Amino acid sequence: MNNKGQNKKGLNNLKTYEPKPEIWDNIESALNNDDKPNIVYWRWITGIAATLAIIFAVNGVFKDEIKPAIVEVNMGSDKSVTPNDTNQDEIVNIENIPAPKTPKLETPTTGPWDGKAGDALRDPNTIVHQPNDNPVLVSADSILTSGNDVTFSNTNTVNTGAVTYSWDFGSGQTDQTSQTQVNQAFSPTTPITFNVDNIQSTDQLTLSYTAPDVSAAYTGSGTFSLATGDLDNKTTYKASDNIGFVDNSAVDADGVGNYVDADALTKDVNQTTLSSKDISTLPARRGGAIATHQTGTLAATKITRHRNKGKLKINANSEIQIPAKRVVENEKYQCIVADSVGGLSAGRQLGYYEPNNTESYLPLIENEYKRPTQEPLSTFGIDVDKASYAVMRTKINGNTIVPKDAVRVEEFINYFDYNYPEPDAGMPFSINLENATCPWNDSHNLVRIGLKGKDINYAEKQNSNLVFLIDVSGSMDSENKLPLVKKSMKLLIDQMGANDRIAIVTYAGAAGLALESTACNEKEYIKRKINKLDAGGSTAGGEGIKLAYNVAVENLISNGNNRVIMCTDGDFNVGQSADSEMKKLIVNNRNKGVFITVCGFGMGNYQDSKMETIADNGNGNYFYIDTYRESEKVFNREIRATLFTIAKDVKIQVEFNPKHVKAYRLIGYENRKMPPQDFNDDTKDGGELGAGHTVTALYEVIPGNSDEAIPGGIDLKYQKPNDMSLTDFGDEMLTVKLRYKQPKGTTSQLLVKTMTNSVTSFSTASQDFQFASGVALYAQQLRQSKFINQKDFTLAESILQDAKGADFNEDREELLTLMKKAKRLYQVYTKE
Amino acid sequence: MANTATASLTVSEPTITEKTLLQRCLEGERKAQKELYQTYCNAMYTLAYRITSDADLANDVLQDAFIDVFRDLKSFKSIGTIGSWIKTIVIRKATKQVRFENRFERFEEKHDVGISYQTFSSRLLEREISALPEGYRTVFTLSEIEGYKHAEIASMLNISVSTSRTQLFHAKRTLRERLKNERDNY
Repeated sequence: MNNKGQNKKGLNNLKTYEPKPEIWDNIESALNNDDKPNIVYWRWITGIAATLAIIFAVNGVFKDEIKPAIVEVNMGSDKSVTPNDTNQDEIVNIENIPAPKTPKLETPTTGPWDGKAGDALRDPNTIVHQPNDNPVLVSADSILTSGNDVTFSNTNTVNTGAVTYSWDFGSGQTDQTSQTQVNQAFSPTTPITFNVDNIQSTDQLTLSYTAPDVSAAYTGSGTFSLATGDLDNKTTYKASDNIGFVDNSAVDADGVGNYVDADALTKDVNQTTLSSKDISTLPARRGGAIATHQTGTLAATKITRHRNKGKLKINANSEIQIPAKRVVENEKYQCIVADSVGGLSAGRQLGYYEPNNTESYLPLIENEYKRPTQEPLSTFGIDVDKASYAVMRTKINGNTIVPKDAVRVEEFINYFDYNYPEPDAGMPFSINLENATCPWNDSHNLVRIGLKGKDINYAEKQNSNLVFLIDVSGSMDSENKLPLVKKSMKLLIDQMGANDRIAIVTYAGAAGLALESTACNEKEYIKRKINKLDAGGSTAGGEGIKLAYNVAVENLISNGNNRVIMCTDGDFNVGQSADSEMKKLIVNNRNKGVFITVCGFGMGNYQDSKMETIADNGNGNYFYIDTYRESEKVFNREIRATLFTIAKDVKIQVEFNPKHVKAYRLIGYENRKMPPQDFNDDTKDGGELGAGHTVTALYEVIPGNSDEAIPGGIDLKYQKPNDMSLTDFGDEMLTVKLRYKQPKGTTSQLLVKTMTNSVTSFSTASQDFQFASGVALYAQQLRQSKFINQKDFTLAESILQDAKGADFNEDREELLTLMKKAKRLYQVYTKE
Repeated sequence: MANTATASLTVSEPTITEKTLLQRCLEGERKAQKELYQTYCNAMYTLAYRITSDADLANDVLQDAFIDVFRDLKSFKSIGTIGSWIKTIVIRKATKQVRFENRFERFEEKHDVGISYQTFSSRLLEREISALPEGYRTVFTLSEIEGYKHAEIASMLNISVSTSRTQLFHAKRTLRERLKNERDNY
């Protein structure tokens, strides 16, 4: 035994790998299910459109909109209705029940009692009871509604012995769900009641019965069609309509989620249904769960992930396993019993699971309307990040709603290129102002400030000294992470010239120099080194970042582009993780002339907030890369342009003239705002503008002559709202001031541009203006802005459709496609 | 009791703490189970990964193995350590995925193939080991890294002792050639 654990000499330095963090969750789920064998846990994201639709539809339609009814079906020739005293529900006479919308009745080919489906129930008026036939007669077609009771009573001669009824729920498959009820000593005064729970509206039901007291065991059956619940008409629900699984008190102090027992939940969740099709279209979700189903004879289900597709597949088996990866912070995951066979599902939420989530987004507080009389200055640093847009794309493509704090409106707008004019000779950028009617509010205007950086000739560019800082920790070991990093790096290497230098620092358990700083004429050697990178170990980001900066500083090219390009999934587990320490390191190196670019890869471990902190403090930018296409965009175009920063610490300050502007609201840039005095303070960091880059900011403006109450505004006692006595600048509506530094400069320069108060109609505004407005509208809706009063994405879609331009533009087309997906996804999620 | 930062486990009699932990696990205490899991998950995952050479598969193996561990914990008789018991389960699960190549190729083992591992970087070793064909890699992992005897390997994998030997011989020969090539290329 004791030789176990003894490594052969030389093999004891092999590394240890780490399993995915969610494996324990999966194990725990399986064990929990062992403990509670009658419960299926299945996590899903509360508020996910498809599910909610179904849940609400079933709860809503069946519970509220259609009055509960007892459908009485007489057994025997007497068609009278027998009231059921014990049930207060409305009793509906069968004669008064309208015909089912699509009766699924079959014409019997033989006599009434041959057991064929549709037989006895076909038409109560034509069935003639034969005394010598089976004494049990079911006399009417019925409309059955889920949640209702159906009562059968017999007015015929009393028979002795047991009568067995069984229901076949769904598509006439006899081997499916059935309820069997044996009525000993069956008598006419004891109606038998069936509850029609858990039946899908489109299902066809069969009632079978046997009466063994007759000489030959007769079996009769018939079909009912359920009332069509018309799920399709019930498509709009409020986000606030929580189904009631959220039990905040149940969250552990350790933040690890809890399963909550069904009994602890408040609302009635007994009658949700999901078909296998519904389940299969649900978004992928993280973690594993789960086990057997609840009660009865429903077949248990197994849900497995379609690899790489993020969809769920269901097999008839005894376990549900949901090992997908997408989790949204603060979303509750809930559990459902789901039977998949034949399209019938008994959905019963038994609790929710709150994931131990590792994606984080900083909460964003939306900018309010400001009055120029109170706050005439609006000041912010430019933002050329685009990561938020890519997060949205991943979420929408994964059929998941976008966490609202992950939406940074300015990053959506700046994801797209706009055709602003090239700057005048000698100027680093052009400033382009436009003012038109606001498309989502006729009485407001939109003011656009668009900057375009000077494009440079890449052939005459400065030399670059790049240090790639690559996370090779275990968490990077999936297709959309390290392999994508490698591809991306090779893309960039191909762009580099012989005088550029590249080094690679990896970090995992320990930081290491994988490639010493090497001139880019040795491309093959560099690529071979890149190929050798592989994932394993935990992350010591702090150590890695220090080493990378050291390498960059050692090889510093004065007047060159010195930059650390960090590729990670953001999982800084070990070492210098504290944000403030990290920040200090980054700022110090920024002052030495080494900037940082952060590229976030993959999903699941993704720490948006931390990565943006890094980029913001290091004069850097920050990209989120989820696909090869995105990698091409970032590495081929963006980074190359970013490498050639033409201006740094770019800040914008807008002064509004109260005469023409009653109130204004900066759209987005929430975490780029700065106090007015910082504008002239050269020690305060702004944003970098790269060669050829465009940056766009939008203000929603309430015109000076508007009598509208300012949303969220507070009236002043001592000032008149539009007292113009001190200023007379005629038509001047606003002044845009811009400060920037040359890439190596330390003192800023000032540019000033004014705009007169003239508004064009939205339809005559420039195409770029229109497109940016559409993007802004979409983004604000995703972040559930209180300033947007649109029920769905129709307006945004039509704006973008009109404004995308005649030439095919891949990025713009893609947004339209995404928006169409979002439209479906969010239709059950519409704001009040 | 050599224990290193590798996938191997310390082999010793169960300690008091471990016994208590096991007792608590048996009682179904989730915290204890998690502790046990966390103690062994990296090593077990590494082992599963070495055998399957596929991160997804290894995660599946780990998950299934630990579910079995906790379900069948009562059948654990304190013979050997809990670690080697878990390890056996992991190996059983993992090797289900593995197909053996050259299974029937008989080879008279004349001499051991010597490889001085320490002359190669662990990164290189790592890569070349994981690039071995499945059957070779499994036996190599169990024999050279985990230190099982051929008889033990044979019974775990349900193969004959001579197959185990043959696989190891081929594994080492292949590995040596590849390592040599790699060095010559630089």
